[in-house]
Amino acid sequence: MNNWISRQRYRVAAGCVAAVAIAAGIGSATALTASAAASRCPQRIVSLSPTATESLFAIGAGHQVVAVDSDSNYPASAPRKSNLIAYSPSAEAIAGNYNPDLVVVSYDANKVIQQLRQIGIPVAYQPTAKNLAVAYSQIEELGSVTCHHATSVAVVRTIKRQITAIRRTVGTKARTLTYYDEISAPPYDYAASSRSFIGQLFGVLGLRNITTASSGFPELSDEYIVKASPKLIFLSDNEPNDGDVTIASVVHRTGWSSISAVRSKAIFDLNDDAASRWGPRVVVLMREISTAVLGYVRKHPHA
Amino acid sequence: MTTLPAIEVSASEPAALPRAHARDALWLGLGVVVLFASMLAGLFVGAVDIPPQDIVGDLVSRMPLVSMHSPLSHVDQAIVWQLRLPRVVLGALVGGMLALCGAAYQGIFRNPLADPYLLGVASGAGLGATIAIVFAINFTFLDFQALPLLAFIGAVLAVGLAYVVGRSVGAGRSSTTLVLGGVAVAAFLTAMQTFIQQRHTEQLQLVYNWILGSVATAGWGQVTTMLPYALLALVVILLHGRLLDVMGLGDDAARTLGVRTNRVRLAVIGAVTIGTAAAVAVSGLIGFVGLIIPHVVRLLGVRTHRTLLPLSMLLGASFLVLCDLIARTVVSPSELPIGVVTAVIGAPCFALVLRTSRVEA
Amino acid sequence: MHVRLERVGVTRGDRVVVHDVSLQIPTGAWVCLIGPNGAGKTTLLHALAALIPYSGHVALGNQELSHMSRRARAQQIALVQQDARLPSGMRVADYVMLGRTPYISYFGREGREDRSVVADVLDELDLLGLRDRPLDQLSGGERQRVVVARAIAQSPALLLLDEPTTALDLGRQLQVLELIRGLQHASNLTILSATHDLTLAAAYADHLALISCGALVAQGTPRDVLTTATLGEHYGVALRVIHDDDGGLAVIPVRPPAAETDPRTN
Repeated sequence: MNNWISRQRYRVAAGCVAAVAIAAGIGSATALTASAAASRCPQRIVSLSPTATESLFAIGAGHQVVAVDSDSNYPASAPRKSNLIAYSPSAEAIAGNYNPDLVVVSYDANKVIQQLRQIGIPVAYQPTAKNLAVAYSQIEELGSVTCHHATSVAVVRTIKRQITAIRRTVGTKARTLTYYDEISAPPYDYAASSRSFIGQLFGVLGLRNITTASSGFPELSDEYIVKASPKLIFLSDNEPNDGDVTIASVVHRTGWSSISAVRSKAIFDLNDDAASRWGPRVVVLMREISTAVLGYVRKHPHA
Repeated sequence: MTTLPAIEVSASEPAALPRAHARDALWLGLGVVVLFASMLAGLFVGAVDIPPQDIVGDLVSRMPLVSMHSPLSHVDQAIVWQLRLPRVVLGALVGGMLALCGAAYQGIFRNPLADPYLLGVASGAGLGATIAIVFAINFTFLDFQALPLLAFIGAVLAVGLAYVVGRSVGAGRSSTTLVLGGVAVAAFLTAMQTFIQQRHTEQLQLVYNWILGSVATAGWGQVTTMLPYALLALVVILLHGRLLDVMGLGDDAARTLGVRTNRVRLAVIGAVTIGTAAAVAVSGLIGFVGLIIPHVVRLLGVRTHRTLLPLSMLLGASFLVLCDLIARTVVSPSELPIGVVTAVIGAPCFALVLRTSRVEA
Repeated sequence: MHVRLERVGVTRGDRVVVHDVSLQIPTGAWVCLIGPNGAGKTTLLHALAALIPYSGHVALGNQELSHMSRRARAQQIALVQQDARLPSGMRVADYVMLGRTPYISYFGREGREDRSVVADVLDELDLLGLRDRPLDQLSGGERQRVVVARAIAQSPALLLLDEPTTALDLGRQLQVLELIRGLQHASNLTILSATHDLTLAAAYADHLALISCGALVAQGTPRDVLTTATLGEHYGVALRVIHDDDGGLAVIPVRPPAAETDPRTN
């Protein structure tokens, strides 16, 4: 045994040296920390957030965007990639395919934020806004990182102005109105409570939600909804691939016929996309709501 | 102690390595080669096409005393060394640990359907992770982030609870009462997890993603988090190789051979719990690895735990590295959850295993 | 190794399974426990193997069984269970090596002496040719030999056998019993076995001990214990014991007269 080792002495030594060299190489490779990108205007933005996509185009950064995720369907001119899925992205593929200098993310899947930052790609993390103030600050943050700060401030100002105008037309008419905003149909009655983002939009117009649960999307029982008998019902689950609930189907639900909104046919569809985002199209949403409210008030002046 | 009578000791026996043990050693060597090849494949192949020779060139250019420019761009270098390498290492570590723990549990419970999640580890970790995600707990305690820490604690507590429940049920601390305790605890914790999830549906996707499992990693943080626990579990379990064979004879027979069966069971369960909890904490609930790989090893004819355990570890590591390779390349630029890949490959394999081997009574 | 049982009793729950059994087993003797089902034979063997608690005293040589360490007990006493569990697929040699567990430290490996003992045991029980055979590919007789081999590999002073010949045909039964008798004489092994087969018990055991309802009701040479009266009383059936010229003994059931039981003639 010993003879064999001494005969292989040189090979063993060479093997050790090679191993050490490789280890050193790997060590130096993994020790390198990514340097942050230079602070110039990003020209190759990838957006994995439909809301951020809308905002980027609204503030004039659209031509700097090279790829958006499969759910970013607005505006239509956005470079939508059907195989880029926000819920299961591959940092390596994003980096390799698009060579981005900024990635906007609203949902940290697969530790993609860390991975991108690890390889030196700046990431703007903009999760679901809790309220309008946060939504506004996200738009302005996008403005400052894409060199469109002034425009973004202007966009926010416009949104505020438009919302104020809508609020004025509604005035105090909605103060006695209760509503139920359905996120998903029975038997899983998920509602948007007043604490959710969209619930707060309703609140801006003075409407009262039938639930003020602290969790944004509580599951309500049919009984509760019937007992609360909301004056208005809004449907956020009317898209074919998101519930496919029609107004007619709501009217025919068992036990729901006594609900005030069903009796007076005050059931309204909401634009599904706008209802699930917190970008510039909140104005569209508020317009839909105010139209519904004003129509209802006109028909039932003594409600 | 009576001595055996004066029979001439057959001269040929003790000196030569029995043929069977030589075969086992061969399988182990092969396992190492397969693991090395898998990890190399994981490094060379990915969502982005980077020629392997350039990767080698980049490595060479980094070696001391070599002054050569790297053939890779900065982004590519970062992809290979910052994203792929830690990911491959984590995959090997998690896969090896899950397979090793699965083999150990199959041995200690004498049940071919055992997997490392048997005593409620999965539900405990799931509950811990759900709590961390839903209540947005974000502290960092002693360098441990909240999510893996809570998942780990949940896993360990679940097994402890299973132990307590099992003990209060049966007179003896037999494996059956323990498994039943684990079933009860798992059901309870899963119900609690579902309850919390239902009340916080906004985070449903996040929780679900965690449960599906992932070895995606940025940097070496997760590897270093998991490593000490994995090493501890590894050492304890491998050292119990021979004892697992003895336990396979049944509790009674093992006790007549002088083995403290309850203590051995406790030691193995403890080690498996720590190792599995560490794996689950950093990578979520990846299924099928712990269940299938030991059976594949048994199909190769390896039946003694002394070889079964390390070979399961090597094969499990390779398997998960290759599954991760598939998960991150087939639907690029998206990624498949790795649990889906292991299930798609693992389930048919399991059916095959059931068909071709006799299930132990 | 001289074994002495003094007023040994076993209680399971609130049921007294064995009570007040006193028995002496001289060194190198083969004592066979006989008795009806449920009499307590297996329980007694398990108590001696220290698998269940017992009251009373059991002495091995001049050591009290309950004072011996687990390891020492395992090195002195080996048990061959009735339905020994054989890990599927394991090789014979590896299985027999498990019998050396009492001599290997907790995390240790088998050593040269262990390998040599196993080789000897395989040789004695004519298993060398089967050493690499997986356990599930063995015939019934081979399986029984392997299980006995594992017990012998423990180098015990006392061998406990629970129904060693059930499920074997006559040829295999005799083969196994001859092997055990050979081991008994070669190493002065003390043997305590339990069996249903009275004739075989009479042929191979030096002494018999009749256990009925947990108590020792008769002991002595086969000739003394196997009498029509004794067996009839404790087994509750009609038997006839016949002796042949070579000292052999057989137990023959006496069937009741045909007219009383055959439904065809009624």
